Amino acid sequence: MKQQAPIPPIGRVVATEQKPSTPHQFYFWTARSSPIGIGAIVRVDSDERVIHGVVTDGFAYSDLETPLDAVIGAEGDPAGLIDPTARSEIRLYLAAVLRHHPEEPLQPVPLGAVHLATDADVTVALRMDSFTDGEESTGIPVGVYAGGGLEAPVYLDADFLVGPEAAHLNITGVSGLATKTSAVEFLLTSIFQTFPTQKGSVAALCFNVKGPDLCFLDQAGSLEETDRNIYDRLGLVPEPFAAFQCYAPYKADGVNLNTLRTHPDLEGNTRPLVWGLRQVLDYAEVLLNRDDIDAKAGAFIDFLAERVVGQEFRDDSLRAKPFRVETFADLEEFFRAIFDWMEALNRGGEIWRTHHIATIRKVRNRLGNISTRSKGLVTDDGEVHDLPWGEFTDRAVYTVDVAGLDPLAQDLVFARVVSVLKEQLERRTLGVDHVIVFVDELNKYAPSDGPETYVRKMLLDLSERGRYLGLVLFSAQQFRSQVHRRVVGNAGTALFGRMDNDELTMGGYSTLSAAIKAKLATLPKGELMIRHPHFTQPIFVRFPRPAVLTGRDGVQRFPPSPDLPFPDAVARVLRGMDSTLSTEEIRDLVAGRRAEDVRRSLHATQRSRPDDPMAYFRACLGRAVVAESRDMRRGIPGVRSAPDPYA
Amino acid sequence: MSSVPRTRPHVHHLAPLRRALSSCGLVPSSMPSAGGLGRADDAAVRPASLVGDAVLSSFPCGPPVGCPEALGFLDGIQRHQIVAYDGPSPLVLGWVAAGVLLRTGRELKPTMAGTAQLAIGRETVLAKAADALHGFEVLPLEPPDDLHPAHDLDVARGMVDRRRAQLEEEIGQRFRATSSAWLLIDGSLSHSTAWSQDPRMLGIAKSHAILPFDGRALTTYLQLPEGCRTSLFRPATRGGRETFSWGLRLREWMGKDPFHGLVRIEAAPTEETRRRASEYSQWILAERSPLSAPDVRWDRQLYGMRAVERYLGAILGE
Repeated sequence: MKQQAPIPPIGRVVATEQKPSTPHQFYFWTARSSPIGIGAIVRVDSDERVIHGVVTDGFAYSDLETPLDAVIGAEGDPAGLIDPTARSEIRLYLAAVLRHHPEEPLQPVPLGAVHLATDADVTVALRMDSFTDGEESTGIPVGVYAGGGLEAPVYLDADFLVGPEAAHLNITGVSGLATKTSAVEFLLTSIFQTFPTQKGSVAALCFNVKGPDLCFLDQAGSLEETDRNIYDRLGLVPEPFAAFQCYAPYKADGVNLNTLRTHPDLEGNTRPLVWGLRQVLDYAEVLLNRDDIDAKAGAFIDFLAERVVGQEFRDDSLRAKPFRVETFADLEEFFRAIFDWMEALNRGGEIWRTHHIATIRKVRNRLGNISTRSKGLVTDDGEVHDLPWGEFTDRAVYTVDVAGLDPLAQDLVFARVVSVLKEQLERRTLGVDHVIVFVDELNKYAPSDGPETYVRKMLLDLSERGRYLGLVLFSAQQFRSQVHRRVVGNAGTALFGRMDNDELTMGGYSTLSAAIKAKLATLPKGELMIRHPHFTQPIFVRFPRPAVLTGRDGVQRFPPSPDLPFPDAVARVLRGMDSTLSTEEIRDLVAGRRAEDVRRSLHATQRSRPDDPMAYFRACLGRAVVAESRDMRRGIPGVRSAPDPYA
Repeated sequence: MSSVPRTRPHVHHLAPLRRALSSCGLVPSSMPSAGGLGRADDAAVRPASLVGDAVLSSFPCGPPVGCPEALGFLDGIQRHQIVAYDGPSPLVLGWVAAGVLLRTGRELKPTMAGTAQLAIGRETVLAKAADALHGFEVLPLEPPDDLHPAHDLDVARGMVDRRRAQLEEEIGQRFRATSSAWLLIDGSLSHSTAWSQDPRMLGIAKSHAILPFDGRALTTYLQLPEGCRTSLFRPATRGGRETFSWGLRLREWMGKDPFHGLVRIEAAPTEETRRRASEYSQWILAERSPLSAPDVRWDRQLYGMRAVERYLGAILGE
């Protein structure tokens, strides 16, 4: 059998009084032509122990004592004769220890030969052997470590990524380099394909906050050979998400969806997201700032939520017929009744059931404002289209497109969706065991400074308690330093793409060497630095492009349908359910009908998805009531009275 | 009553005085370069005989041009230390090393090296220390009759010096046996018959303890302009092995001292040497860079030689 020649070392540990080896770092020198670079993983062999380390800094020395010597040597002319002899120069590297073997007693790194890491070394150095070996491996491929011609797979531990040991992932990087979103899309692919069976089911819910970034996750994107090689190396199949649904609110007209995913070919899994009063009232705190919600207003809102909305409410002093408040329109009618009652009382009628009229007016104004500012998301008529609560499916991605929404409405969506996820995961009624929630622009929703908002509190709660429930936050932002410390601090795994230089000067990066920072500031597309509980030092990896269509390509391949006039938009929605329907017939049907009636019928049809949409729609719409105009009769003239004798 | 001088003496502000001396026909200068004058004990003038020219002249060599072929640098180092006394007699340990770095392309690579460690002392001292001197070449001291330790040390130092020269010669011969590359030797070629006849060796003498001229010729020799060489001459050597030699100014010396940047080149006494002396000088001029600082002899030390010394120093564990 042919024996393989031992791989020669590429360097040797050097320890001096000025630069000694310690248990956590060591220096080694290499030849000038060595392939070692910042982030390279190396192995030190000595008689008594093996140490793995990662290169964190590099130095080059020549035998010059001062720059002046170089000037004199060149006779002051930088363009002068090239030296016949290259000046002596050495390469010295500083490496941070990743792992000692044996681990005890922990001792300084001995003098020894330094080798480039092999696949096996990378596994040991990053302690991946503890979770990738055996039948119940919890390894999730995150990319390949590339160094010295080696491409070794790097895995994250699912127990530390999705819980319960640790959880959450945060990714930082400058915008426009297709790193943050791409990395998350790739990682979701990886999780869906390799999530350990014994850990149960997993789904993802992505908030699309800008452009069409996350709207085409079910469509295949183009990949290069290098990307396919990485997928191969990681044992993954490059394919888009098979189970994908996109939810988007309507525009103000209530029929055109407020998303860039409106191409007819994609209608099958593009759904409206419309909420009514009940869904909004529970999260009124999100929509009303501290100045709005004082104790009195809060008490009145609670009264409405608990006693009035969604049930029969009787108050004979207001009117004999009980109230049934299901919609904003019903709520307005209810408020009107209160005000009428107070006005009827004239003076002294300022209190209704312990609530002052000013408080009632304030709450009415603020709640009324919600349906105006969030038109399209919040409906007056009570027809609701919601996420498939209780029916989430394993390995499915749900995108909630809030890019076109008012910031206030975005907050409402975040708050309600995450709260319901939490409730249902707690009760184990969601349909899956784990949900990964992806939120981009985290610095906007959980800023490190500024007022305490409901969304920030909710994200804090999610980051601190989510892992026990199976609710995992994957978040991204440009500037990690501008995000609340507890939100990023609770992320067990942190990814860093190319970083802004100013950001790198912030205190949170002080543990990184200048060389690591320099590498981060110039990191190419498709490379990340990873911090993970099993890795004692940050590691650089390369990941492939996601196998899904990017937002930009998606919009080119599936151009959004133009907004249509109301009757045509209604026809398009119905034809989406049954392409045999005639646009003309639908136009004729809705002609002259009130828009609110048409919308209500359309939403009911969409929600029910009947076999015969047209019949259902027609039934919901009811018969048209033809307006009749009648001539006003002349009234009976009054009795002409005699002149007032007292006038 | 003492009078106050009009001008206060100042040891550092000599520029005005130097300018004044220059107008008197003198050449402004400063202290000699380190090691340029060699050891005072050896200082002498041994007139050389000119080759070809009737009068010692200077010639511009032309621009520096790197040697177009592989070029070796041979040098040696030596260290010594007193480690014990037996009465007044010291036991001196010496370490010598010699080696060749060969330049191909622009990279210097160690090609061969040798070391020796010496134990030097009077017979009685060496006898007593015999058990502790395994691995050392034991060299009995033959000092003057008096027992002054300084004399013993001086003789021991000379013995280390000779052993180093011997090792250099051995290494040079070994190198020549395996390579025909040009070889620059640190010092004179006249110590070795083989070297003095080798057509592809050049000796670079940085020390000027022995001056080859006196009178007007010496002035010409010492005031050689930068980038110029002298006429060829045959140095008067104690060993009697003939070489051709010439002075070469590597660096501007005005304002420094006459030995600054001055080296003496030796080559085999052949017609080819006469013909190519300027070309060889151009090669050596090119070796001024990289500067061999922080070596104190940086004005004359070639970078390749310094690299050999550092290499040998590392071998000796410095």
